[in-house]
Amino acid sequence: MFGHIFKFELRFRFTQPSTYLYFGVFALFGFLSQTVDDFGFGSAKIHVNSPDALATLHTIASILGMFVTAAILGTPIYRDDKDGMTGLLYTTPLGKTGYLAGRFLGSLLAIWLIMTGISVGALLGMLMPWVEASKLGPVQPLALLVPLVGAAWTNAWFAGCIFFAAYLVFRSPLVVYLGGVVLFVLYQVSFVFIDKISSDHLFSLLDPFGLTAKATDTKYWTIAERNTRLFNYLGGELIQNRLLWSGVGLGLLLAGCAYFRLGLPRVRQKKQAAEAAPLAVAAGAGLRRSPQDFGGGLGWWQLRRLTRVQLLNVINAWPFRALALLGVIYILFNAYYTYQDPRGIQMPVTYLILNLVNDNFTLFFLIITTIYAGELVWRERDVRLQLVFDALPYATWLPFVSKVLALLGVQLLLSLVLSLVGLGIQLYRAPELVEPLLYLKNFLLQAANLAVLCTLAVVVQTVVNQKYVGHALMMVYYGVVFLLADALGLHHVLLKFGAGITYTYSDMNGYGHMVAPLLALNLYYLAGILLLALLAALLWVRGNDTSLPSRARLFGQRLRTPGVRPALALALLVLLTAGGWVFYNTNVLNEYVTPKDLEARQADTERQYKRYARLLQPKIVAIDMAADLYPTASPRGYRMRGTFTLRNKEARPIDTLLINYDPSRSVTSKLSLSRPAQVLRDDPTSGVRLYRLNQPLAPNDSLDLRFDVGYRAAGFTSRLKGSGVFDWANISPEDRLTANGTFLSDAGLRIGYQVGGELEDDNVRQRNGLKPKDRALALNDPRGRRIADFGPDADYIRYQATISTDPDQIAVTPGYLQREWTQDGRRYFQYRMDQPMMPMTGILSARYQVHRETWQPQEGGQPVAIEIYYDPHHPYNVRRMAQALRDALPYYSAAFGPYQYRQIRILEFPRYKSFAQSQPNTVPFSEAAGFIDDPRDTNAPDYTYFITNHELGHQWWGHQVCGANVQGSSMLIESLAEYSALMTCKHRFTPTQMQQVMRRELDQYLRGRRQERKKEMPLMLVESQPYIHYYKGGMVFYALQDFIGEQKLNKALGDFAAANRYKTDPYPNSADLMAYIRRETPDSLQYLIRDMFETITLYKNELKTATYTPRPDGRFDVSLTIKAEKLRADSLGNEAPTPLVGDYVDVGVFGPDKSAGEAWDVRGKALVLRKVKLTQPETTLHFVVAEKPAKAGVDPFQKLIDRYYYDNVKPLQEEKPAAKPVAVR
Amino acid sequence: MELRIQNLSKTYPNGVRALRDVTLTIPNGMFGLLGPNGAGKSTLMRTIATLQEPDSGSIQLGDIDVLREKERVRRVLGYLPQEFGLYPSVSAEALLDYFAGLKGIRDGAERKAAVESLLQQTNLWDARKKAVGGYSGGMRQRFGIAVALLGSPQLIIVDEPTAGLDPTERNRFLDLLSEIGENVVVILSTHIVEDVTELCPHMAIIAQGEVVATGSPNDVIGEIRGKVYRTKTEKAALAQLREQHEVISSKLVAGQPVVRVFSETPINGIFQPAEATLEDVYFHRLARKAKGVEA
Repeated sequence: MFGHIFKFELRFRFTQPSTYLYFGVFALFGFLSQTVDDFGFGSAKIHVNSPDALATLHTIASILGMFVTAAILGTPIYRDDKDGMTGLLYTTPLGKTGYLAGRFLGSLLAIWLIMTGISVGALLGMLMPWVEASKLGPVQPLALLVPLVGAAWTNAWFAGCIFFAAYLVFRSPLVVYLGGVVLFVLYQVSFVFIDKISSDHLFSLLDPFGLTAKATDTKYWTIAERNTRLFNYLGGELIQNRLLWSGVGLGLLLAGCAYFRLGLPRVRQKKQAAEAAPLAVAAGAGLRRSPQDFGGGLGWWQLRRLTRVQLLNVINAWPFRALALLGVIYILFNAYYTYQDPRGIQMPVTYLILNLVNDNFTLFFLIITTIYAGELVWRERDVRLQLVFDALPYATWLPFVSKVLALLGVQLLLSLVLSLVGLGIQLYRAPELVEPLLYLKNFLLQAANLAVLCTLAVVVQTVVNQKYVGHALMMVYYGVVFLLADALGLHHVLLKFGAGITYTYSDMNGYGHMVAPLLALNLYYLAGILLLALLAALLWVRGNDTSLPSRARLFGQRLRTPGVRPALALALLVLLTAGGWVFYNTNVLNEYVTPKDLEARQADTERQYKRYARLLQPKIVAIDMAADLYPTASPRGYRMRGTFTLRNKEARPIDTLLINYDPSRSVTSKLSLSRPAQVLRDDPTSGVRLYRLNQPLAPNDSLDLRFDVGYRAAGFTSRLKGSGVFDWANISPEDRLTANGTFLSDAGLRIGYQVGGELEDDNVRQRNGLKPKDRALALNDPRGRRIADFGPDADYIRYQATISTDPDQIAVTPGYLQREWTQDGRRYFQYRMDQPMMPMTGILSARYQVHRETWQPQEGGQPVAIEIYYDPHHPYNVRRMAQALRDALPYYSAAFGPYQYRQIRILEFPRYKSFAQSQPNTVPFSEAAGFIDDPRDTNAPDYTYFITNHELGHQWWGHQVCGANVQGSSMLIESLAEYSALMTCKHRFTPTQMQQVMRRELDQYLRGRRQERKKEMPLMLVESQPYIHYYKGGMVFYALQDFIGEQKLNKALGDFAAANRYKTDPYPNSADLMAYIRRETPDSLQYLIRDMFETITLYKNELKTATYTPRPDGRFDVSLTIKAEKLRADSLGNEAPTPLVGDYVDVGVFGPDKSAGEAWDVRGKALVLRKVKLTQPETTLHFVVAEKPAKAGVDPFQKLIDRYYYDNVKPLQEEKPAAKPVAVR
Repeated sequence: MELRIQNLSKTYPNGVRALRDVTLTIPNGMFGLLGPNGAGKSTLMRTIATLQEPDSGSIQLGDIDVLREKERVRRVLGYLPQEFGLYPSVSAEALLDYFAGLKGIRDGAERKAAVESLLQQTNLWDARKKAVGGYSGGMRQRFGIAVALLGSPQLIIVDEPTAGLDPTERNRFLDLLSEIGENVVVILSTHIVEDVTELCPHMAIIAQGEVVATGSPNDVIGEIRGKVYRTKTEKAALAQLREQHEVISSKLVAGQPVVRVFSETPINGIFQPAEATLEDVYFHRLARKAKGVEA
């Protein structure tokens, strides 16, 4: 029997076209992952067919493929129910086991074969001749097979079990999909939290698909490992995850099978209606002929009734309530962990609450929309009512529209419920922050988006007329438009239909300049979907004729219904108008450039002007300008006029000038020179102008470059996806000059060929026909030593500027305020810096509130004014920032030399970018980077404090001492600022907080390595790699002060600073600093310099055993066995052991933890903590401690870089004193 | 009102020719559509009920072009399909009210009255609060009938309405139909000859997608009147009889086969002349049709 059913099921599957469609979609996905750039799973150094990329591919594909799994494994029994086969089937001598096993295993085999499409597609893809050899590693069959089984098949297995069981128990295909939604939510939860909180294990288990477990297992894998190492689905978090979920699946499957009876579905009925006995005489004999009223307004009247019924039908059923409950639980869970985050929490400002409620729900809403669209569209047909229903005299558009409205109503209700939960959370945490209007605006935006999604889902179901194919198509839509649009080259907002535009709400600037594009695009999407809906409504299936020719004929017939064509024309008109308006803004008023265009332009500029790279140029020595900001004018804009004084600092005369200006269409740059010169060439595409001076500029002679640069915001642009914090340069002026919260860099003028403007990534260079290039000049490159790390234009400069802005705004730029006045309704500020400074001349303007304090150095000297310019919404951290500065100013002055200015200012800017930057006496600080931290949270380390002091540190490291434009300079600037901030933290934070700070540094470094796109460098040769110069730098300097002493390291740094303060020709490099450090380091620790700065060295320390025995005298003998291993890694992370040379490592024994932390944290009293010299791979140590020990550890505070820090700390085991006496050392 | 069907043909994608050049004129009153399972009755009825597109042909209801002016047809239509389901968890009363709204009965009081009256007439009054998901086949059928009769339909199409009804119910329903059948077109499809004989002034027999006979039952019977003979026989002799005569039907009466044959020329011997019935016509036509196709 089993064999028969099994074969029948397989035969059924393989005669269905949908099976091949699904296989094809999976194969296409796999194929594209190998053949299309930027598809997402490989990267510069990670091969697209590396085990890592292929594992991600299989996992992601199987997650998106859950719909297919549900369609295949949720339906076999449903088919029998639906087709009324059950009566026939169940009366045959059919064993339940054979029947269910046959159906299940047949379907399982089918989905497994379908999912094999991923591997097949990927294999084909990697064999294609046009795929660049550099992107491919060796073809490893196992790298395909392992994730196919471990990820795709396992996911299909357990999800299949759940879907199959869900149908057996509930006999409702809807519930099958609900099971899918639950799985998605679990996945999303763990995905959201895996990067947020430190307890990886819980979330690794929670993610049913194993993506989080995979990320946890491999979070510190190096490039080399990612390219070569097969995933071990039989170990680590992965095996636990896979076993757990396979087991859950199997358990549910068995339970479902046990519950299932061969028979008709158990009808959930309160009472079975009794067959009423026929009445003897029909009451009121004769048939009532009721008048029907087909007059005007009937359609709308019926629509209301129909929509209400369908809506109630959904929301009164338990699945919807279960979903809503799930959403609520999800948000509460999310909120709980957000507000329990040991790394600090933020104030529940309304936009963050809205993020909490919305951001992780795109997929959730999409899935629910997809599922319910299927249910609603097929409602009549699923119960076989369609023939009765379809012959009723309603207009054909009616069911279509009512289903769309009902679906939208369901989603809006859900959205409302979730928003209310968010509101509740906000009321609970900080009721004064509730902004009802913002909730409303957000709801409207969401409603527009949901209207598009809901209509689209109904349109797809209507047109395709196959429920499960419709579901799959919606997932494809989601994948293409929401996930892969940019990878597939769909960059334009007009093409990302329904995906909305990425906008950022800022408390400072509100929706700001995003309002116009939001409105226009939403109108465009809505008109587009209206058009689709009108067309689809004409294809609505009425009756039982679904053949294509009949539907086409009906379509033609319905098209001629009065009113249809005008409506279509109107929708088309709105679509074209709104779309045209968007297009006019993005492509006519503004220039539309794709990332590829930008690359090509950069490459072109390099090709044309690289030959001028060695052209001697004068340097800027003074900037004097007037900047007028019009933040609230229409159009917004600015105008900067002034002069750069350029001096020939070279030994030879200069006759050619190369000036770069901003080539954006919205920026106009008028340039002129104070000396007669000819324009040799002006290239508005690259923004390059070449001048030939009539008279060469003699050495030490100067000339003025006069500029008049204007920007006018013209409409809006098609926003490209930003790629992180550090691409400030790519953010368009429209985000920089905003109604409230302007932050402009400078006038956009540069002198000489800009190496910094070249394409960096070798892959990108290659596809643009350029040769690979080095990221930085060599440590001692003589040319590089003459240039500041910030750029070749200038050394220290003189600066003064007059800024005008709106009368209610304060404008700030580096320098001291000389004068402030109002003229013609505008407010003017005149600033002047009274000493040379690095050429960083940002301009900020907003409606600021100002907090002022003064810091008076104890040892005398001029007082320093502390000023915090903040948005009135965000007063929470202002005092903490001031306190941080008060702590750091004395520490830095004492350790590194006096503070060079009389003032330090911190200024808030909108959260379009999230970073802080140190300019002379001025620190722009993002709204998102500390101003809204919740000061009520006193457990977590105060990162606002840390960031503030990092930026203050730059006033020394970067502004007083600036590295040359060579390798290692970002260590001088960033690592030292990081170290400076860490030292203020060390003196302010608790040891537990400090351990968290340092753990974060280690974690960020180790995670950063796996993303390296070129080659990892040792610290002293770092090539502006953030994960090295911030996090490894922080680790290294912090450890170094621990080893050689804070005083000693500070002395080295102070001496280095004193010797190099304002030094320009040559600028110092990291080797200069190393000499000072070497001098302060005792011989026994000199190895540290090699390990920490000159090589990439990692430790593999492990506490193997840890036991204690009570002694008769009440004290305790502790015995620890330590394994120590030291490794050197190459630039891709290939490791080789290196012998221990008498390395010192902390060893500690601790009392019980005083607060809860990770297993590998030590939070108890240190009973023993000393540095032990290790020469052997394995060492046993004995201690006597006075109190009962609980934990012990080798390098328990992770001062050394150790990928496997989890095994450094262990709880101590008690050993019975019966053992032989322990030799006490 | 008169329904004129002309040259209607329909072939399904799987090759089944459900209708072949069907031409029928259906006047006011009850019209019986007689035919075996798979003859094309349901296809024809669905096509008239605007639920299906023919490949060719036309249907005219009064001045309405049925195939093009579907809206107008539906306004006067009451349709009961052969097989249908209902939303499981709605009560009969609520569901009927819902359908009444869709039928355009906008006036609340009128809708209430119509729903109540129909629930009583279909004998569902006592079960009106129960979820229709729990209804038996007969109850569901009666509910369908109530839906078809809602409003004031001019064209009532009922496909196998009496299937699943017990005899009392069947009678009640047929009475109801014949009562309204006087002023409107009622098309009743069935494979039970008695339904037609008892009720329908006009009828057609349809087999393998073709109309094989049409007219009043009397007319239809007329063509074979006097040409039907019957005899009792033994089971063993049946085969031989079939070879020698055109057997219309054979039935067991008290365990012994009674055979009816058709003959143009008088036959005697064991045969006695018999009163021709509609059933005879029906089987005769079907048999002829089957042979014709084979030949």
